[in-house]
Amino acid sequence: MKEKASILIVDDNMSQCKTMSFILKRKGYNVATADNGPEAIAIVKKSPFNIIFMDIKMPLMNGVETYKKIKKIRPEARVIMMTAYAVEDLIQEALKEGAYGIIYKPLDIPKVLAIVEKASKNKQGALVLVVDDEPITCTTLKSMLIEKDFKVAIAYTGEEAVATAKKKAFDIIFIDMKLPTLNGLETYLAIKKVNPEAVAVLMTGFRQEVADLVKEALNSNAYTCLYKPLNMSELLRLTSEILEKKRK
Amino acid sequence: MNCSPELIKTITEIDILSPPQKHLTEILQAIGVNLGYCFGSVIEIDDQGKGYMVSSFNLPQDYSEQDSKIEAPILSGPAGEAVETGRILVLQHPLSDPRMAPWREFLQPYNIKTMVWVPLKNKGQVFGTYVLYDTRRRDVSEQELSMLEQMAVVISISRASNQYLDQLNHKTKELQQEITERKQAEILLNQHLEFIKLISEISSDFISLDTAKIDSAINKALELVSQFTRVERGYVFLLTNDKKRLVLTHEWCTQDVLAHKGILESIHVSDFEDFVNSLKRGEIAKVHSADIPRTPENKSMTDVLDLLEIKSFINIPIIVSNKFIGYIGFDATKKQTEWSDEVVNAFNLTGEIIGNTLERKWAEEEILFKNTLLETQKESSIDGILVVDGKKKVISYNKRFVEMWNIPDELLAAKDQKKLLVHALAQLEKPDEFKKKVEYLYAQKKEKSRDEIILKGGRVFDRYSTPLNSPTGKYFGRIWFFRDITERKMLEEKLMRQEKLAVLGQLAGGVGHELRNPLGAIKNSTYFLNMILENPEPEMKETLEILEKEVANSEKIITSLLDFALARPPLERKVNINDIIQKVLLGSNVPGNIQVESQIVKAIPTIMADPDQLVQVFGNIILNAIQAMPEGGLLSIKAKSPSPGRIAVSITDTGVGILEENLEKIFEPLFTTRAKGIGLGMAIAKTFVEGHGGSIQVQSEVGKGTTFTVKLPIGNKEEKPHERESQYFDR
Repeated sequence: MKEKASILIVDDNMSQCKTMSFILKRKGYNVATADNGPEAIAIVKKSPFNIIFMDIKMPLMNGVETYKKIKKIRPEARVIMMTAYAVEDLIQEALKEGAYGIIYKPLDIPKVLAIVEKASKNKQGALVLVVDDEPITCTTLKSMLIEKDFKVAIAYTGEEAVATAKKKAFDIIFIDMKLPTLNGLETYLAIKKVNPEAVAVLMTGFRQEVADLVKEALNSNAYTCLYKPLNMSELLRLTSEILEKKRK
Repeated sequence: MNCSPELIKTITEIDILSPPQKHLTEILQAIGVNLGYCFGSVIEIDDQGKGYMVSSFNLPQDYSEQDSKIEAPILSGPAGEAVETGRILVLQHPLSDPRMAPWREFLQPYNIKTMVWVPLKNKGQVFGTYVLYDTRRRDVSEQELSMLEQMAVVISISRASNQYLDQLNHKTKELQQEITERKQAEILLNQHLEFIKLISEISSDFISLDTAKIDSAINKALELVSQFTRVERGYVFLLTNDKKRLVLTHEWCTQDVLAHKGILESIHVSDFEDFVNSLKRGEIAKVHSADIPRTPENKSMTDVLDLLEIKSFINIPIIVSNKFIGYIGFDATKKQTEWSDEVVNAFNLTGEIIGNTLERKWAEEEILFKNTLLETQKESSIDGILVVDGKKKVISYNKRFVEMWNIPDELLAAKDQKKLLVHALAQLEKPDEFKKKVEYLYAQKKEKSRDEIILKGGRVFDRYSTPLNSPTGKYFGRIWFFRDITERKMLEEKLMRQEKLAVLGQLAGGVGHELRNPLGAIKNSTYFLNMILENPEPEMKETLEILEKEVANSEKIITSLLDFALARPPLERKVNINDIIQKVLLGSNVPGNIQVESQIVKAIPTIMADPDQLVQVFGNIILNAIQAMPEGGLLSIKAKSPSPGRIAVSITDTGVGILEENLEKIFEPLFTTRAKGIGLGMAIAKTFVEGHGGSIQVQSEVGKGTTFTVKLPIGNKEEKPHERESQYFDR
């Protein structure tokens, strides 16, 4: 049997910290705890961890700042953010920086265990295609999704996307509605023909302008439409929701 | 001693019945010519003892002129001597005689050699002398002297008759004068009577006059007075409100003269300050154009006077209630005119009448204006207004009042305050309270009062009432204002609700988040205990189950708090409402005593909506319905598309129902009639439905049940009937 993963729990709430570590220890993981950012950094410097649960709202140094520092010391560690608060900006920042995921308190322990399993397995991820003529969106999305073990392909035009979709069966396709030549809707409909099992999530920064296109795409069973600036936690929630439904 | 028969003959031929001056000259001439003198004259002494020439013959033309230049009195020379002595004086070589020194130079050219002075007598008194001149030196014989004396008598008689005639003439003239004056007085008297008639005519005209006709009546009065006084123009200038100008307002003129109108319509007070000030002091201005010096500074004035051909004008101030309001003026254009007292009086009276009439006109206009203002204010008010007099009789109301209280015509016609009150009371929620208040206020003659009255059906009026008291405190009645503030009240309540919501949202968010940490620790602990206790004793096991259950309950409460506080915009997706309802029913644990009946139209369109939020909306409504039927009942769910572009889902229970007064509050956060729950379910449902652009309504009857109806827009343009298309996540 493979050696169990080592886990670090960082939370200023000691009850949370302790109860969580009790459970994970019992499950056979190597668990360490820290009740603030600097302490966590010191611990990480001494020894490596596979998985780190990081509370966002902490005194001295918040979870995101701590994560950024740890990322430099241990880039291979999977960091899952935890929060009891609606600190949207910090959550977005963490996800963009490459945090593995976000879980809300009170924690759903079975879900935590599943995440731990998933993160420690390094399993073959789902296939994602990002179609956007804006390189920045493409690269941000790509790097973020890769952190979560997805395999990511990028297309800058509709035609390119259709060609890529012909070669591989994608699980999820993110399509920007405003594309040169073929627009988002046309791209979606073309991909649907060659890749019927793919779930399409639309994206746009122009809610009003492309409203009709979006309606039509939704009518043709596109999954939903996300509005830019993208909410990364919403996007991640959607992807796992879609994948879960597909698995069923 | 006889007279020369020629002389007698000549004299007898003189017409003595001709005017005395004429026969005197003729007699003198007859004497002079017959006796061979070149010229002569008659000198008389006046009352002051001064001599003067009354007649002459053959005197050279310039003689009188020359004579008048000599300063020495006539009587200082030989003439005086003759008068004083009463004897004839003969002077040879008068030019060399010292007594004639003053006249020497002027007599020189005539070469007079002999002069004779003969005294004239009446009743033995010398009253003058006649003088004869000869260019020859002559010796006056005794006979001639005697004749000259006799002739003196003739001249005296002629002169006397002359004087008598003068006296007679004078008397006649005096008599004539007397007659003329008497006649004129008679005319004046007549004029005066006519004038009084005229003035009374004018003033009686004005008294009964409609204000609208006053202006034409003033013009008519100007015409009458002008014609009566024989002037060509009459006019009125009035002071403007800003007191800066005097403006021509009324005018009459004869057809052959120009009018002021178009030439002189306005006078700047500042240009004629002295003139206006003297008028203000009540002084009458009487001016002859000819008296105005033609200087450059007067030019503009004299130009106007010339243009209007004014010879004389008179301006009389019009003063009303001690206030100068303008002046009345009359122009004479035919001749320079002195205005008699009578005429000035006529003008003055006319001015007074016009002033009083104008004052009346202004007062009436002021009243008209005030009435119009009041009426307009009353009718344009958004308030319903009722005015009741001191005897509680309705004296005024506006349309709005009638509308607000739905007052029928016959009630209006009755003008009876009591009937109106009865009519109003029937419409009130609390009639007794209002009745008391009204009766109290009618008894209070000083009190102002304001409150809100609620009508059956929920309308709210703001009621204000104030007594009508004059500044001196006289009570005239009471005025009532009613303003419909139903909408404002509703808005206020809505705002209050929103404010409450906002505060609640903040609080809920804060508390909810704060609770998540401790709750998380409890949850973890429970999980841990469950995990490590392999065979817990039954009570321990149950305790753990209770812990788990209550943690889950707490989580739900927190989640609903946060859902409510931080409602995110719906993430729209194609949704089949049937699927949503089925999912909700599955998760609702409907008790066995409740029968579920679901009627969903097959062709119900799919909608664009956030499925998670809709699950919560219908979950909350159905939970509500189940809780309303503790004894069991029927839960029926209907979905249809009542109009294109919308779907309506109604959820009906046969439960206890909701009291009418609670219907509005049912969607308010923290409103609950049950021991269980914090009262956020329906508030969240409403927030989510409205977030979708939909609406949620409730109808209920206590004891029978409640129906919630959720209307949602379809959210896409093509309304296709729902197709059961295979969808990967439905499998």
